[in-house]
Amino acid sequence: MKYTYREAPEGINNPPTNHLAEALALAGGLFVLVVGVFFALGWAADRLVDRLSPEAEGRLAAMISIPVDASRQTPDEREVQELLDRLARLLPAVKGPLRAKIACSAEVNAVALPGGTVLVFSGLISRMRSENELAMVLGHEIGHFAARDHLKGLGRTLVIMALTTSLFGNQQGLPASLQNLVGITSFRFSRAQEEAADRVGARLVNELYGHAGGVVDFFRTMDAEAHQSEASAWFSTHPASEKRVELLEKMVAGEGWKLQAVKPYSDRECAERCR
Amino acid sequence: MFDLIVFLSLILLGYVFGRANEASHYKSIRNRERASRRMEINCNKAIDPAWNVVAASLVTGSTAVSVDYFKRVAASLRNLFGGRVSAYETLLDRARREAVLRMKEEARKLGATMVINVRIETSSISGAKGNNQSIACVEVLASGTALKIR
Repeated sequence: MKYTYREAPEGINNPPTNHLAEALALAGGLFVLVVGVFFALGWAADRLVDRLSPEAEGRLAAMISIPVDASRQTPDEREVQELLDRLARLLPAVKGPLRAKIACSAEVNAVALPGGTVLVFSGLISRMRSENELAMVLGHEIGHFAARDHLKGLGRTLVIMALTTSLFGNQQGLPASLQNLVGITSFRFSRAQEEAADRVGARLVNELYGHAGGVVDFFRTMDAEAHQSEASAWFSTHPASEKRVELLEKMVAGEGWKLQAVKPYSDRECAERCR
Repeated sequence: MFDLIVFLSLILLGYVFGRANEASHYKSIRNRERASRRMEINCNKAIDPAWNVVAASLVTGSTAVSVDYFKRVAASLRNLFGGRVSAYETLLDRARREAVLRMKEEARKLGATMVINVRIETSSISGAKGNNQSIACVEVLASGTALKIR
């Protein structure tokens, strides 16, 4: 048998492939998959929080270490609590008890936290000139609770975190991240959620006082202070105030609600304590 | 953000250099295959009684290859969906042919005229097994019996 040399045929063991195009196609597929999973899980999380019992919500709140101390309330907190209870009684959609908590901070903001805590910063309390105005803010937060917005935001954040940790490795453990959750999300809700909460707030104020006086006062104050640094916290979690004033005024006019004199409010103890 | 920039530049670096490297390696492989064409290699175990064998010796050629960052990412994407890992195929093809060329080179230096009973083996040498962080790295070993025939 005579040996004759033949060149090895090419393209059998190394078929011509555009590696870059292939990698891009795969990355695109992965991206579509992740986006799909994100929306599916977000949707599932939204459905899930509608069924979450107040007890389960309490356990969740304990897990992410949000202060829920109802027993030791300051006089101002008790005052806010009383107003909060009167408003919440008007709305059966709110599950479980709500607790008022005032945090000493120059920031002008209020947030609805999982577990039923309404956290109000003293910066906001000090800007309240009437009880009706405060009732509007509390009613707005009650609106978030009624729509379960506080948990929906949490659910979506959990989904994002679960996806990022599974894709990019466990750089930060999930329990540790849960601790920082309050800080990370700032509990920012969508514009639609905010507007719905505004409507609930205005309705509650009108029902409680028999008129809608004071519902736009706070947003007017915020509008005037928009350039100040203390107000930036409010605008980081809430849409522009002028739009909301417009919407609320339209609502008041549309419903035919009366506008009467407001009840004055003063934050004696809070101003003292948080100085 | 910084991590993303590092990641993307590593991919780009891997792609550009990996591609240039592959092209020049293939060119060199083809040239040397042509240059060493007189050296017969086959997989037969038996020696033809007609041959006048004056010397026989084991010859080996080995290459260790690793993947560039781009191929690593491309292969890990492929891992999610399944299918041919084409990014690795060219790499292994190069490693096999390089190993055979090195074996022939060794045989040539021993003054052999042919290599019989050629075997090609591949083994993974990629660090800790079962650890996702380990880099794909393989050794390809070609071995055979070099014969000096008069």
